[in-house]
Amino acid sequence: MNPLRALSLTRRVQLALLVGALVAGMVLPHVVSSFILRLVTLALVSALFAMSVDLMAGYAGLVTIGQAGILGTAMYGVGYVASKTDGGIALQITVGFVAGMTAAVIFGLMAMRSSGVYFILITIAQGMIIWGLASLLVNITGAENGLPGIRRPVNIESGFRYYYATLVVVLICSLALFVVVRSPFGHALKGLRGSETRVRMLGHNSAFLKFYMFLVSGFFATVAGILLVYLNEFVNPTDVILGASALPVLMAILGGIGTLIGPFIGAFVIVFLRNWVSLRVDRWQTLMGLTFILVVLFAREGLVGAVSAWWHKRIDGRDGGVSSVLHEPEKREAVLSESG
Amino acid sequence: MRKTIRKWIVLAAVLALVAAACGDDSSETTATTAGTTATTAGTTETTAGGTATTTGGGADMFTELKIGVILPLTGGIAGPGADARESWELYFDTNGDGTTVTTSNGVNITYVMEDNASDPAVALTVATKLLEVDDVDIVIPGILASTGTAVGDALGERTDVLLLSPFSCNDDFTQRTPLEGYARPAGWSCSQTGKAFAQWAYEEQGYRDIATACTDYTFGYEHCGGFADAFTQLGGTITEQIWHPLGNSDFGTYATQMNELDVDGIVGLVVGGSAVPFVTAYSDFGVKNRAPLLAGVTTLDQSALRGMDKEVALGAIGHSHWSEGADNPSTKQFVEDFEAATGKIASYYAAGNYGAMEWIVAAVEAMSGPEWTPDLMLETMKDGLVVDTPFGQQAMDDEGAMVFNVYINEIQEREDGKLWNVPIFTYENVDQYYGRDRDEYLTQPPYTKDFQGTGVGG
Repeated sequence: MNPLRALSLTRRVQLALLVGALVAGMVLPHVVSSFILRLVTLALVSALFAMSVDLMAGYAGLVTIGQAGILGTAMYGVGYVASKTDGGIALQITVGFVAGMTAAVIFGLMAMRSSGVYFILITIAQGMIIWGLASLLVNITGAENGLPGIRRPVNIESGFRYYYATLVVVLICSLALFVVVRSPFGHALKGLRGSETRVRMLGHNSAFLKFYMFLVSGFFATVAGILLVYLNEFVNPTDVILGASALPVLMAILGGIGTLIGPFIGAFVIVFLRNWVSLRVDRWQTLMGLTFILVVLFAREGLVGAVSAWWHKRIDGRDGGVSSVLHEPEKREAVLSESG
Repeated sequence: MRKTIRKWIVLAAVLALVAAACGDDSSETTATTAGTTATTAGTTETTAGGTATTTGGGADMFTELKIGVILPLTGGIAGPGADARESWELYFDTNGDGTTVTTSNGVNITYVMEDNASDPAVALTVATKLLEVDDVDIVIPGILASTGTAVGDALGERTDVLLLSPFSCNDDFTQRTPLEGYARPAGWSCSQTGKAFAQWAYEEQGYRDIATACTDYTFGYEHCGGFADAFTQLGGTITEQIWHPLGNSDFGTYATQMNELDVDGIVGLVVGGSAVPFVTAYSDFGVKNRAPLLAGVTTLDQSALRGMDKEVALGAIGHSHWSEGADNPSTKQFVEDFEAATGKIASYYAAGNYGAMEWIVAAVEAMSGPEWTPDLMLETMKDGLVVDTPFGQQAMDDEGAMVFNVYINEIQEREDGKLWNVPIFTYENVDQYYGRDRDEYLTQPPYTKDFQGTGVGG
C-alpha cells in the first residue's frame, strides 16, 4: 500500500511543501545572484536564531529580549580568536561555542526563578549587559570599531559554498528542534506556558526546566552566532543592541509564534524587507511597521496561523486548530464554558 | 458585521499609508545607470554603443566609472547621512544631469547609492550588492568608523575595487596597518586636527593645564589623543581625562565633574545627537564660566549647531578641517549652492561627500589610458594632485591621508540669525603627523584609552 495514502490531505500538502522547499534550497544558488544568495543565507541564520527564541517565547511562553547577548557572545568569541590571536578555525569555533554557552548558563541562572514581565525585564538587562561590555571592553571587542579580520574556513570560503554549509547546519538544527519540542521536555515547556503552578504540581522543578530551556535555546543561538560571524566576517556592538534581540521575537510573531516554521517564514520576510525592499523603497521601515500592524490585525497567530486557519476552514473542512482556539479569547471562553 | 467593516476601514487606511510611503519614491531613490549616458555640451562624443569615447586628445581612454555610495540614510545617524546624500546629489545636479557626470576627458561617472541603516552588518550586505550586482569600481563606505571598518575589511582582498573614505578616519588605516586600495580624499585622520588645535591652545592662548572630556570609544581616543599628545609634547599638562559613553544625552554628572577642575580649558568631544545636550550642559552648569570649551570636530559641527540655542553656543571655540564661514572662494560657492538647494548651511558631512566627488573627478581628469585600475587612480591622487574642495585646497600624502587647513572656529551669528563656524585662526598644510617626524611617530602605539601620548598620565 502506498504509505502516502495513509496520510491526510493536510499532511500530504505539508510534505509536498517541505520537499519543494528543500529542492528550492538545493537549486537556489544556481539560479539567483550572489547578492540574493547572501540574503537567503542571512535569512537561514536569522531563522535559526528566531527558532531559538521561539522555543522560549512560543513554546514556554517566556518572552526573551536578550537572546542577542548569547548570539553576540558567541560571535565575539570567534572574532576575538580570529582577530587578536593566530588561532585556527577549530579554536575559533570552540571559543565561540564555549563563550556562547557560558552566556546561556549565566543568563539561565539569572532568569530561572522569574516569569512574566519580570522575565522579560531580566532578559532585556542581560542583553544590555553584553552590549555594555561589547562597547566598553575596547581591548577585547574593539568597541564601536568591532573586530575585523575574521575569515571563513578555506573550503567554504565562497558565498556559494557557505550557503550550502549554512543550509546543512540549519536543517540539522531544525530537525533537532523538531525532536526537542515533541519530547517530554518540549511538552513540559508548553506546560509552563499554560500554567507554571500546574507544572510544579505535576512534579517538575520549573526553575530547572527554565534553566534547561536556556541551555537548549542558547545552544541554537550560539550556533546561529557562529554562522552569522562567518557570514559577515565582522562583529561590533550593533550585533548585540536591544533591536538585535527584539528582531527574532518579531520574526517569530510575524511568522507564527509557537511553531517552528513560523520563525522561518518571519525571518525570510524581515530579512528581505530590511535588505531587499529597502533598496527600492526608501521608507522601508514604514512598510515593516505596516506589515506588523496588518499581521496583528488580521493574522494574530502570524502568517502560518492565518494560512493554516484558512486551509482548515476552506479545504480541510475543519474549523481552526486547537492552538487557534487557545489564542482567541472569545473561542477559548466558549470552549471552556462548554467543557465546564 | 460591524467588525468586518471596521477591519476593512483599517485595511484601507493602512493601504493609503503604504501608498504614501512609496509615493515620492521616484524623487528619493537613487540614481542608477540605465545604459544611457548624457554628456556635457561640447566636451565629448559618445558612440552609439556607448563604449569607446575619445577625448580631443585622441588617446585611448576608459569611458565609464561607477561609484557605489553607502550612507546611513536611516537609523541612528540619518541626520548627517541626509547632509551627505544631498551634497552628493548636488554635485551630480550642478556638474551633470543628475545621474551622470562627464569629465573633461570624456569619462562618464555614474553612481548607485544605498542605505546602510547605520548598521555595519547591513553595510556589508549592501556592499556585496554594489560589488556583485551593480559592479561598481569605487566604494564610499559610509560615515561611522564601524561601517568603514566592516566594509574596508570585506573589500580588503578585492584588487579591482577602490575604497574612498571621506568620513571614517581610523588613524591606522593610513598609518601602522594600511589597507590595500584605500584612501581618504576629502577625509581626515582622527588624531590629525587635534595636533594643530593643541598648538593654538599652547602658543596662541598660553594655556598650560587642560582637561579632556571625550566620548568613550575609538574615535574619542584617537581624536583627543591627538590633542593630548601634541599638547604635552609642547610642554603643557593634561590634568584630567573624563570619558563619557557613546550616545549619552544627560551630561549633568559630567558637567559637575568638570566644574571641579582647575584648568585653562576643556577639550570636549561628542558625536551626533549628544552634541546639543553636551554643549547645553556645559553652558547651563556654568562650566563655561570656569574654563572655555575647546570643541572637537563633531561637537560644534553645523549639523549639531542647527539644534543649539544661541545663548548656549554663541562664542564657543572649536576646531575642524571644515569651516562653513571660511573666506575662500570654493567654500563660499559650496555653502551658497548647498543652501540654495537644501535650505541648510552645509555641515562637515555635506562638504566631505562633495569633496570626495571633486577628488574623483580631478583624478580621472588627470588620468589616461584604456583601463581604469584602483592602483592607477591612487597613484594619480598621490602624485602631487591639488584639489579645490569645499574645505579649501587639499593634497594627499603617500599613505592616502589628507594634507589640509585646520581652522580654529568661533561660533558666530550670521546676518540672518543662524549660527555658524567662522575661522579665527588657520593652520595651513596640516598632515597626519603634524609637527612630528613620521618614523619616530610610528614607533609609539595607536591612541587608546590607556595611551594618550607619552607625556600624558603615568
